[in-house]
Formats: sequence, C-alpha cells, structure tokens
Amino acid sequence: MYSLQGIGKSFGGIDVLRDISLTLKPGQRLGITGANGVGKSTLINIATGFLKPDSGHIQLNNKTLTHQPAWAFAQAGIQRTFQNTRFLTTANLGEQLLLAARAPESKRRLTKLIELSGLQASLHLFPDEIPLPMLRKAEVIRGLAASPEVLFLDEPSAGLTTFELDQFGVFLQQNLGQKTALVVVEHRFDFMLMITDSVVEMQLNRGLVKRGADVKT
Amino acid sequence: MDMYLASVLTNMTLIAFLALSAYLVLVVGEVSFGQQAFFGIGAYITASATALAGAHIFWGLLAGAIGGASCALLLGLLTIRLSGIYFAISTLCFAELLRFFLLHLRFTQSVDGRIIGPDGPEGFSNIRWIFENHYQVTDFLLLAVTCLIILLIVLFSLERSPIMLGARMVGNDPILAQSQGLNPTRYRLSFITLSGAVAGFGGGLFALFNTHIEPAMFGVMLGIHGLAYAVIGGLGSAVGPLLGVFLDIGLLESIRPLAAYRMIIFGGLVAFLLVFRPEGIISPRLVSRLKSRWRNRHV
Repeated sequence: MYSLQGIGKSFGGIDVLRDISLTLKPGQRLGITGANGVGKSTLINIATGFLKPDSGHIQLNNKTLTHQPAWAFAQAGIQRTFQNTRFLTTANLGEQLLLAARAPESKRRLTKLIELSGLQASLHLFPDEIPLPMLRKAEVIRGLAASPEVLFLDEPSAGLTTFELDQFGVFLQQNLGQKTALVVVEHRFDFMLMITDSVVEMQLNRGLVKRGADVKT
Repeated sequence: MDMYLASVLTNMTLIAFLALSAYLVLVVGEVSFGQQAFFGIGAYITASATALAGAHIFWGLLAGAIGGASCALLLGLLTIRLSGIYFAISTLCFAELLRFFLLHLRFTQSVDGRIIGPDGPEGFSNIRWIFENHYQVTDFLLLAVTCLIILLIVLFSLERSPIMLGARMVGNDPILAQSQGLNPTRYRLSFITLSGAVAGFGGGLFALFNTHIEPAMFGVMLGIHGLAYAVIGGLGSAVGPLLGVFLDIGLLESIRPLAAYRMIIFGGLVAFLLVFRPEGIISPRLVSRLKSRWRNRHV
C-alpha cells in the first residue's frame, strides 16, 4: 500500500499542488490526466522523491518516506520513467540494465523481460543508437527488474506512433505482474483505457477528480 | 638499465598515482585542482614516518595513504553540497591552504648529526631511506611499478564491478543515478577519499625517491598536470591517465629535442582533444565498445 496524504507544493508563492491525496493498492493501475501546467509532473516528482512537498506525507507499507532522498524511494521500490527517456550515453544498454538488477532474483527477471521485449539485439548498443520505442521498453524493464511496489510512467506515449504505443501497452500489460501498482501520467486516452483500471483528472486548484464511469462507457 | 631512462620511468610511475587520483574524482563528475595537496600530505607523512620515527616503508606508505585519504574525506565532507566550478574552486583553496600549512610546519630533529624533519619553506631534507636500504634507481623503479600494478589491479576489478558504472552514472546524471537507487553523496565521498589515498600513497613514494621535498613542489601546477593527464588520456579506463602521463612525461619531457617545446605541444594537445575528443583518448564509449566486441568474440 502506497499513499500520498495532503500533499501541497508551491513554487514562488504559487500553489501548484494543494491537498492532494492518493492511495494505491498492489496491482492497481491508475491513470492521471490533465491539462498542461496543472502539476502532473510535479506530482510525479514528489511521489518519487525528486521534489520535497511543502506539506503532507508519503507512506509505503506503513513506512514514512516523506523526507527521504530520491534514491531511498527507489530502493524502497518506487520506480519511475522519465518524459524524455533517461540513460547514460557512455555505457551500452546491457550494462545499464544490469546495474538496475543487483539481486540475483532481479537478474533472472531482467533476463526474462529482455527476452520478451526483443531487446537482446540492442544490448551492446549505446542508448543514442537505439530507436525510441525500444528505449521506452528498456526504461520500463529497468524499472520492473527489481519488482517494484509502484511504477510511475511519465508520458510514455510521447514520440511514439499509435502502433508503437499499442505494442508498448501490450508489453506493459503482460509484464507488470500482480504486485506492482502502476501510475501513468498521460494525455492519450486510448492508451490509458487500454492499460489502466481507473483514470483521474488533475484540475487546477481542485486536485484529482475521478473520471471513471463517464469515460469508460 | 640506463640511469636516465630509469629515473624518467620512475617519475612517470609516481605522477601516474597523481593522475589516477584525479581520474577517480573525474569519474564521479567533479574536477579537482587539489590532488597535489594529498600527494604532498602523503609525501610529508611518509617522510616523517620513515625518517623521523624510523618506521618500515610499508607502514610509512600506508600512513601516507591514510593521511591523504583523511584530508580528502575532510574536503569531501566540507564540500558535500558543492559541485561544478564551486567544487573545483574549493579544492584549489583547500590545496593552497595545506601548502601554506606545510610552509609553516617546522619540526626538525637531529639524527646522527643531520637535521631532518619539515623545516618550513626549506622543506624536508635527508629522507635517507633509499640510501640506508641500498636501493638503486632501478630497484626503486621496480618497487614503484609493483605498487602501481597492484593499484591498477584494484581499479580494474572496480571497473568490472557495477560500482564503477554507478560512479559514472552519478558523475554524468545524478538524477538518473538516484532513480536507480544509488546514493550520489556516498559515491562522491568514497571516490574522493579513495583519490586522496591514491595521491597520498604516490606522494609517499615520491618523497622516498626524491630524498628531499618542499612545499613548493606541491603547487597548483602539479595538480593541473595530473588533472590534464586524466583528461587527455580519457575517463573510460584507468589506462587513460597512464596514457596521458606517457604522452607528456614519456614523450615530451624526456625526448630532449622536444622538451623545449613541451608546453606548446602539450597545451595544444589539450586544446585539440577538448575540441575533438572531450572525453579523452580512451573514452568511456570506446571502452564499452571494445568490451562488448571482446565478449562477442569469446562467448
């Protein structure tokens, strides 16, 4: 169980997030949508420890993470991807994926995920030599290798064609596993409907508004 | 072996320690203009331990390495929130501070009618360990090279472990590193401390070989050379800094017709490489590519 309670954040006197709360059960798939500038990225950054909230609490399985550094979030099992995929350009993909899977169990999982994703042929390449759809998959694999509690995807559709996005969605559905909760921040509704079981809309100054039934039907 | 050649090689080996220590800091993404201070501290501590306290060379060098590491750790802790140019300036200030401290350090003793010990700007004379143990230049070269090889073995095994890739990630993209659960502060402090140990150890050997050291030897230019060797040689592997040392000292300084133009050629080389190969001759990409090619051929 992962929860954000009463998260508030302001930049230079302007409230970006006000009293945002969110609870995720294992295996839950949540989509967050919303207009540009309502604070979706800020929310991801706070939820993964890269920004510190001005108020509120972050808890994972009764452990308080609020004031922990970002690397402690990652170690506790809060993984994320970045809007523009983020890799080192000085090491090949295989080495970098291996770095994310330090435990033997994660290594086995990683090997399996690489096989399923068709990334074997790209492992010896540098990330800037690999096409974007492959990198998106690689980033998800990197996040999933250690079997995280929560995986945050920050706009995975950016730069993908509808076909590529579809493939990405199928790959995600097949490999998320029962334990990992998923949060997708996205604009593409077709994609969200495919992989999430509920969608909330983030609205300026109103927080997260449920968009479940009306959207799905 | 020719005495001149042996002393050039020894010199190269000793400076290689300094270049490798600069390399270790560069790997975690920082530039240090202060490695010469750890080199100097190591030199003074090893000299004091062997010449004043009569310690065995092993303990002397170990004390030098520990001294260098402690100073580096102190610097790392003081600059824990600094990076980029601010870190670089701090290292420079720290190094100059230590040099001024050495300039005022007087602690002399008379042993067998000789004045030994640090004597302010006059330095530390009569470090007679190599005479007392009847070391020839070639013997000392062998000792220094052995130590360097041991260090390289340590660094190469580090290079094969995920630690080095983690350090490079911390250096290149701390946000990415954090998202992978790596603690950048811990990596930075460990590598800076290790760099201090390497420089301190090299400084200890330097003191034993030179038999006389003085604060002026550990000025900024020494550190800048060490740094330049690491930058030229490349950050892909510990071989990089060694290549840098070889290019400058091995070729330019030691081949006499070239020596007069050393600074011109060397400066030009640095400028050329910064433009065309900013990650040095042996860049991380090159090493990574060679490694996977090697694996493909042998698996």
